[in-house]
Amino acid sequence: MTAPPLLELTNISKHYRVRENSANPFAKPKTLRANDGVNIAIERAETFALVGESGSGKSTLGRVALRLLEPTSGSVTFHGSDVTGASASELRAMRREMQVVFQDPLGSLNPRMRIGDIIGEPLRVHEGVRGTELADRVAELMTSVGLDPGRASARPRALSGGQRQRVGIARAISLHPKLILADEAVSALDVSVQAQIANLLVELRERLGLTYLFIGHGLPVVRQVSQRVGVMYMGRIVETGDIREVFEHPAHPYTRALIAASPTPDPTQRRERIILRGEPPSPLDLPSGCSFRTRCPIAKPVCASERPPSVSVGASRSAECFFPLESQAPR
Amino acid sequence: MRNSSSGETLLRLNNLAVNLHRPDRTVPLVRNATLRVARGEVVCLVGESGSGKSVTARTIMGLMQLDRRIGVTGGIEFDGEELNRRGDEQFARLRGKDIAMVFQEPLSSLDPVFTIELQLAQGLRRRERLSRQAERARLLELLNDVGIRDGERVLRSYPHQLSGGMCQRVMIAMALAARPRLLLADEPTTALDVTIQAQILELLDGLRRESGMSVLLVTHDMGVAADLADRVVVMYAGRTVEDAPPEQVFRHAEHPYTAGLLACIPPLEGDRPAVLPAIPGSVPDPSRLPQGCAFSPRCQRATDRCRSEDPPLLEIGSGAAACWHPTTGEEQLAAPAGVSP
Amino acid sequence: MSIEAVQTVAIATRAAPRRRFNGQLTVTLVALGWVALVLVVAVVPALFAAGDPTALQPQRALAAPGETPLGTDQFGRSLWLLIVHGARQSVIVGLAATALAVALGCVLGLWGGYAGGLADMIIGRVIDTLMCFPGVLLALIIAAALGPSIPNLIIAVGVAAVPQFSRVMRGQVLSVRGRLFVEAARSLGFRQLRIILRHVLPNSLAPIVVLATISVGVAIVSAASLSFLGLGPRTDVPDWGQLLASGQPYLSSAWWISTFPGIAITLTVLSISLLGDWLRDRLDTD
Repeated sequence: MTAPPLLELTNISKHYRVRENSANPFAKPKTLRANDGVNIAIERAETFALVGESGSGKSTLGRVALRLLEPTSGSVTFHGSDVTGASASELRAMRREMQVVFQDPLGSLNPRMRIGDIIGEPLRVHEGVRGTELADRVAELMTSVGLDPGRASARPRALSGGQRQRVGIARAISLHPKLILADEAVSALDVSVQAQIANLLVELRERLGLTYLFIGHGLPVVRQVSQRVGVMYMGRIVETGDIREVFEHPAHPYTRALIAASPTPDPTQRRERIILRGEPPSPLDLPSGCSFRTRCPIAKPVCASERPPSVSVGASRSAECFFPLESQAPR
Repeated sequence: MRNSSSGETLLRLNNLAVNLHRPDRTVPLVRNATLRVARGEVVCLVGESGSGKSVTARTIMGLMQLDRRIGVTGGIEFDGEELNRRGDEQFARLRGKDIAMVFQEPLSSLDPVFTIELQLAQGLRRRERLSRQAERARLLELLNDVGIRDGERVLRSYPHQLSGGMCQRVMIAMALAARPRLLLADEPTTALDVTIQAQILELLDGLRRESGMSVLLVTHDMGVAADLADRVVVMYAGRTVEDAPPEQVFRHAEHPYTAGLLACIPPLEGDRPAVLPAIPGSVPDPSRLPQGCAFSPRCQRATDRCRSEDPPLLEIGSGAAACWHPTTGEEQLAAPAGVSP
Repeated sequence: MSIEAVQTVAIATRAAPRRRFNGQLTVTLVALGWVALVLVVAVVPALFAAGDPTALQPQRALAAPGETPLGTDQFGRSLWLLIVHGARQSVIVGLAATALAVALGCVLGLWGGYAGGLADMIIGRVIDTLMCFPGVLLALIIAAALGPSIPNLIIAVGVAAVPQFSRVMRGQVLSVRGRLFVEAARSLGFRQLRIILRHVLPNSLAPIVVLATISVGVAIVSAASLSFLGLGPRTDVPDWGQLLASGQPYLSSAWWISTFPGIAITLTVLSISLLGDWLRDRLDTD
């Protein structure tokens, strides 16, 4: 009997009612399906990555998982307790255990506070730590994320992008959370700094036993820090499984195209790409059947008439496709 | 001649420096940008934030010079003509005609209150006067060139009705309307998704091959450079630190910064390193540059000389690097036997 | 250098240099000096002008400036004494009315902006209604309804200024509320009150501070106008507005009665708004 997953999302949907033509008050509002029937289970001490392009719904899903957004339907279970049904005070208690590191390190820090106060605020509020103990714990946190504790009195603006993100990470781990949502946490950083932060996240996971829900679009970094991956397209997870296997032998044609389009610093690999035709469909007017069929190089008539089922394509791997590609390496 | 690559030179930057004169001090935005773009060649200008790569492109376009506080020194030679000594008209004449530019944010580069047709036609009318029908036909042809098949619909649209990738195609069409000889593309795909980025890069590559236009592509992404470049120029803290053909840059970079930048990109296949070899520290602020080589505080190979003297750009192999201790020849020495597969 | 440094550079290339004129510093210092002087005068008027400002000397009525520094009014009172001793009331009313407006306006703006929904709608409509009246007219109605006294004058002038503070505050809160660090605070499980007071309020305050400095000047003028119209308090020492009003019938024969209080008001209001400008420049570059 294995332990239950730390975070479980069951049949999550997040729909918005949108009036496409704001000038016409009689136009029928349409439904934007940001997430549509998503299931994820994240095990303890693993990093589960969500990848996909803009509009795929990955950021929405991350916010729904922490109930920073209310799902339209479905349920979220965290550490055995129901997140979706929690009251405001229960939720506040839960929030200590699940933290967020945001994409924009500067925007997520209050510009009028000193970084020592930013890192120490959760400790003051939730644990009532004050005075020298607080200063000591802040210094300890700063050291553990590679910041000089002497800079505690600096304001966010005086730091570099990488240092700011370290502040965001120090704040997130201050309450010893179990889960951290890293929402594009390295995407806005310079390449050389990205690697530093990726290393830090991995190190903290191993040292503190953290679990990450890691949202990103730079596939190389995502692969570096994650164990499993969910590939999102138009609000659905179209493929999920061990990240190395998925990237090596993608089963869903979209996954394959995404990986092929991801630039690698190797000039011998150019022109091997599968260039996807066309643009992603409007999220307000999704195609019938499989959402990807309008761009899919192997689409057949059945893809237009029915939504593809989730099929198993190997050990704990699945893809939503009628014609999954050869996914297992020959053994 | 420093660059030995073939082809007639279209653009040459010689020790280009761009300074921002503020009341209290002068900030060097670009200290020494040196590069060459041959006819029909794609040169990728790679660097992180603050490297001066975008400022360099804007200076070539003559956009930086519009600010009175900006001082430009050094040479900008376009098609044998020295631009930097000429006045504003010189730039104005070339801008949008022989040299065109595409920016990072396609949506904010287009005016939200006019249709695509109107905006596209404006660029066209500066060059040629056509009848209504002929003009429309020419516009559709331009859109077709950038891979837009339903041109009629796009012409009628306002920018917000189009996707980012579509807007970037329109911007490229606009740049191409005057049949420029040099296209400056400043991070043209950074705001786009990777599948759309692949389309745009393919488009730029195709246009270059068909029209013989030169492209100077500014990017922070080594992967994009690897995909498209005939030549890679790496900038750090306002200066060119390496300039070489891609085979050399991506096989064994001479400058430790280039090597470090490549090493910290994790692989997409094979084994994952337990720890990524990151470059320590962060990019320096242009107003507080370190003494000597600007990379020396982050460089493991740095010696006292690096910390006191800024190295010149010296020819190495088929490229050039600005480093006192380039990695040349040390690859074989440094790599312990039996480690590499 | 980081991303925003590049943006700063980009913006810098577009915007023409500000604050090139070093004279601005001089002007600001002069303004600061004047405001400081007025404050000291308001606190200890006797230090500057010894004597009883209310002493009537009918034999010296309407004397031109000369023997008495700024001349006398129709009752023979020294204008110098009157202006120095009248400063206190003008300054008190200006500061207190502004404090009242800031407090009420911020609470309403914060409440409406952060809570949204019904609260925002009700507050918004009330503010809209108040805004339909010109500020001075509103103050006039309130002052007339409450009757003349110093507290009532403060309430009248203060309440009339509430709508603008509330509006500005609401707009600030709406934009700050959507910023990432507020979402970060929410995700850290902080209570609403903490988020409002510690994260939203401090980041919404910059334009309020600037508006307040301007508002002090406006409040002094409004109070003066009400006094001028006879809706001010009946006190022994007239404030600057009352002095201004009392000189009106003598404008052609004894210009100094209205002119010197007028200059005092103008200089004070001008100085405070110059300080407001300076403060705005400072706060902009945070």
